[in-house]
Amino acid sequence: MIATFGVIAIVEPIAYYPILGRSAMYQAFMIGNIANKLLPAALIAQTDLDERPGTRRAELIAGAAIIGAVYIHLVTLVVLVGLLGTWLVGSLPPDLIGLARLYILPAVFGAVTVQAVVTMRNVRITVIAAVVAAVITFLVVPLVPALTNFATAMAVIISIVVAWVARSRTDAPPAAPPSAGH
Amino acid sequence: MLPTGIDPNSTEILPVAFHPVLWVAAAGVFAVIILQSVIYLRAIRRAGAAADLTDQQVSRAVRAGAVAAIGPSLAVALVAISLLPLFATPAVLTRIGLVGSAAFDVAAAGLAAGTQDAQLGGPTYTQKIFAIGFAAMTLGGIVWMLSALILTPILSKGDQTLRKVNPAVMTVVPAAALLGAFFTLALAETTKSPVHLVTLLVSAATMGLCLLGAKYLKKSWLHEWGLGFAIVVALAVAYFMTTG
Repeated sequence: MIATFGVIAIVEPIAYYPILGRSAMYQAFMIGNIANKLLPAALIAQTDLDERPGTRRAELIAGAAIIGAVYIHLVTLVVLVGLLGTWLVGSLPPDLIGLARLYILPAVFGAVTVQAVVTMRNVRITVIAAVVAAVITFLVVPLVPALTNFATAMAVIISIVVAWVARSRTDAPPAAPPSAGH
Repeated sequence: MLPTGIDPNSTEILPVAFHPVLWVAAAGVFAVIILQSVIYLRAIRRAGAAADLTDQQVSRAVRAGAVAAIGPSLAVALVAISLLPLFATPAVLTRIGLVGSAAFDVAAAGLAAGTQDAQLGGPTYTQKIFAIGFAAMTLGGIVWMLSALILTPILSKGDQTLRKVNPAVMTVVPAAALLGAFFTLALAETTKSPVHLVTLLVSAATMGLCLLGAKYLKKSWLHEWGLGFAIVVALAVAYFMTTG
């Protein structure tokens, strides 16, 4: 368990700091869904009021827009998920719920992996990470089952090291990539 | 003593997942966010006067933000509903809907369950595993908050230094960490059963189609709805494979 929390504790902030940047970190940790919901709301409100990002006025408009977005989000969650969703799940047959439970992980990870690959737009690192993960999952873990719980931690660390050693030295520094999650 | 229905080894997770304490905690999170927004809004109105921003314009910005958030909020709700059978309402509302995100919280809970030689969802998914998974999500969230509050000022100095030393660090390290983690989590699912493998592939393919559609058909809403669609389509395929 300590190993798990260690992995999360290390990977999550380090993975997201460079993506989110400073001010978004402060906001993201409480509200969540920054990239897909709060940023578009802020930009639309700034356009609506004819203000370009970067000014003090634009900052205040963004803050107000995020508040509007948060209220809509809270209402949606309470009504659709809290009331409607709970009722729906409660009224579905138990074997259907069991099936959803059993296969929800591959259903989430398949999509999220594709999203991460597309968001990162880096063929070299994608190939490295895929090969490292495949070697660990299909070779290392079956040979040394004791390492099962450390598979993800190992894949993350080895991917970082290999990607670093094999990085393209001619690439111009790309713009900050958009957030893939929070 | 323990209330009725609480048994760490029971696979009936609902008595724990719908425990009154979790409902109170979920309500607390909502209350804090509402309060925070009220305080922010008052501060913005006060500061607006000095920045040539009238009260009407602030209200207009709130409305514009609210309208813009309708679509993405519905997309998040779809993902959250699909996770209800696994984590139940209080955990989903706070972790998936608000503080966290679907990708990281499911990954954290799955990893935590793995350390107990159990899997989320399956016959090894007991009350104890639910509690450990939920604790892992929450601890991930706590670390996130602490790092946001404590590390951000430090990292932002380090960020400039790192960027000066080698800009590649800031792009290579997070990309490799994220991709390494998700590829491993995804590939681990393929070893569980053929249905898991097909479910994963269908989910990935649906997401891929949504992202392609978003790019080439210029339908940006497909971007937001991709994860929700992929989960629903993949679960539907899993259903037809196991019952058909």
